[in-house]
Amino acid sequence: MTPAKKHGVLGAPKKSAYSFERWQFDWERQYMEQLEEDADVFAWTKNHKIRIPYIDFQSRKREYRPDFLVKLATGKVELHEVKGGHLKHMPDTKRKLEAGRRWCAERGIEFVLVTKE
Amino acid sequence: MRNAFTPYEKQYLEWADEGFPGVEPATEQFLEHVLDPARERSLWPGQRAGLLRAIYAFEVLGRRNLLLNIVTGGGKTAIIGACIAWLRWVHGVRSFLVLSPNTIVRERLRGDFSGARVFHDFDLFPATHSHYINDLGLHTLESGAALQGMLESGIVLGNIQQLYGGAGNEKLAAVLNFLGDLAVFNDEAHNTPAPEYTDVLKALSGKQVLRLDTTATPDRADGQEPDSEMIYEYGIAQALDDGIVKSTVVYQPDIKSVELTYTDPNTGEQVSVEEIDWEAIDDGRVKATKWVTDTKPRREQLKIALARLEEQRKRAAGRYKPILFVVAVGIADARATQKELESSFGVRALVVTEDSTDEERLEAMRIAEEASPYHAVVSVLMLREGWDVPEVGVIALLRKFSSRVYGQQVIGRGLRKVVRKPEEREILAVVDHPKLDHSWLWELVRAKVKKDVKATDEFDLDEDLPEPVGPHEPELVDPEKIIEVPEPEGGPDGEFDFSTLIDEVPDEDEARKDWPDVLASTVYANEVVEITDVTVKGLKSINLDASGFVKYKSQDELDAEVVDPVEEAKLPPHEELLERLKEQIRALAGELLFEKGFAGKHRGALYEVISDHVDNKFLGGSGMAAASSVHLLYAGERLHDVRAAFMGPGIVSGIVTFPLARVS
Repeated sequence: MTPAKKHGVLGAPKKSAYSFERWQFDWERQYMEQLEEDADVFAWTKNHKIRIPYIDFQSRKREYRPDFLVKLATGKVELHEVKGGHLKHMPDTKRKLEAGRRWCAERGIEFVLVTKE
Repeated sequence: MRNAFTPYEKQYLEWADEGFPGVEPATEQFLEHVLDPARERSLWPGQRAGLLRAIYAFEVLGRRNLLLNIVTGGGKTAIIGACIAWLRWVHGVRSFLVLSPNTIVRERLRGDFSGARVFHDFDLFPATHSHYINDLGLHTLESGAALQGMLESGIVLGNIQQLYGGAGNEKLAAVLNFLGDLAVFNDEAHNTPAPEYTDVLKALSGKQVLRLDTTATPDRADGQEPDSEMIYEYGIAQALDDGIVKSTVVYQPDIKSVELTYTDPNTGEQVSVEEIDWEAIDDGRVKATKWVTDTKPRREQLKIALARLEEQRKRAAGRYKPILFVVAVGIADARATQKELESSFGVRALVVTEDSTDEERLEAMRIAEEASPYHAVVSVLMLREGWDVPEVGVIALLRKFSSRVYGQQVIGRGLRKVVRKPEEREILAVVDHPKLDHSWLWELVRAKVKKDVKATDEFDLDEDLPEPVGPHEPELVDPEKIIEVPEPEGGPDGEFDFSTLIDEVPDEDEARKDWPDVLASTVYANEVVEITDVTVKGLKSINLDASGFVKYKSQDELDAEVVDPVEEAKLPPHEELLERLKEQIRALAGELLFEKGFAGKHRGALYEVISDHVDNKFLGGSGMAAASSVHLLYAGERLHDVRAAFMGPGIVSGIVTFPLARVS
């Protein structure tokens, strides 16, 4: 009767600078928990202001929000983009990933694609 | 009411997460403005979702007849306002008709839309587009209002009764003849399934670009439902979690200390709750003056209610004026209750019933202002909707609800929060009685029920407050964990150079001008298709092969010989199968556009191409209507292969870019 919750928050994360982190999809929540447990990860957040410009399939200028900003224990900074298998074949996905790699390369940080089938 | 959005839920969430692919470019700009996390007054999660679903349904799915089911206090006016802003800006709609079922609802809307208030309050246009606000003046349909005003104002608000009477109604005629394309908003839309209301909506439908209904209770007491598609349910559970409505606490006395009885003043007959036919009272079969709550139980219930009002005043701590709302059996009972409140307790009370004047009703809307001498409202069932005074902090029930809808509507009057911040914890106190049998309602609103409450009991001010809800925006608590992103090499040079990106993006999906040839040369392998979802008497499964030759087999002899050709008579009617196939193709067209990132407006063109293709490949090429029933079924089962063909590089983009291309 009551509609299921479609979004939620991860309260008081250990490795985020913020009081909570918001998730839209369950796989995002799962990935957050994984980051929390990963000994190699020093800090992570989804609450960043990064917007990566790209050109979409219809040659329009667009921006997208990458998923996770991660800092490793070694001090290395990475962007983690989590994509379900179903999205891999969408034409814009490829363009976004390409733009993400470029964006990161310009800043000397690592772009990491995480796939969950 | 069925949620028509369920099949699209997953697609929709991905669409929202991926930054709204396939919408009009101006919609993107609009959304960027209203969803900007840095804005001063951000939309609540339910408001954002309501707006986004309406946009998705309209632009991506091509739906035109929508309903949002939003709990009272969920903020639907801002959603209506945002939809108006979007349609004005992006779709060039200039006329917006906002319809209300009665004067109380209309007056609330008038407050929201006069002086374009909702557009200013929620900052719905960026400065570059704020001139649109000038187009969104308000004209209210009421007796004596000049028709001219309707032509000069973008928003026309009125009670539906103002448009009754068919072609002879000059206001309706003016709307139909002088206004351009319309968007129609039905507030409290559970009222729409009435013959006269429906007639007006039917007359308007020819001119309407979009109809958007809003209600908290789409399911009516009589089982009818609005003639629109429900695309969103924002229910009490989510609203409580989001901290935007009060949580309900119910106070019930012991059944022995308060015996709830009623007396007929004319005959002296006394009855208990169970002996009254509440439905008969609510539909007018029993006179509303027949039963009056007995003085003793009424006084006890009021004592409990006034103690709660006192507690609510302490919680308000002078910031606002809490109001008591008493729900009586009928007019006679309401009057007697008012007298009791004033003479025994010194609390000034206002009676609002069907007989009340407009002035009394307006007084009820202003009751929480300091200047109003009243602290309580006594009503029958008439203040069920539209009367939205957030300060209603205590509801006392002297009667039983005859229907689930009435119960939800009445409690809804008290759910709006006074202090509209998620971190403010507020309760609605409801004084109930175990004999009223309302536990279904308390489950529905997730209320906390306190039993055996005595008139002298006092409660801790904090113990029943809801769990604290955090602010909507996360706070920085651990600066050490902030992750700095280095500036790009060569420093921040302002503008991003898009031209370099254009050269680099993979262009494998370039629009093909020769798409008709590609499609024509597609070869579909023969495939035996098993159709199990056809509910045909005496048939468990049908096997069809690509030649169209039909066999059917019973479930346990799948490997057995061909038994008999399918008798067409055993299949659903041809017309139904044809409609089903068309609907499948329409859905496929929408899905392909979505996947390829195109706007829903290309759907018609794509639908035509797919239909022709299916006809040529599977149905013999003489038109879908001419195909046999089994062929139609078969084609439907092969659409996943058709989908694969259309997903090929350059096909959908080719159809969109070169719609007139022909087989060479």
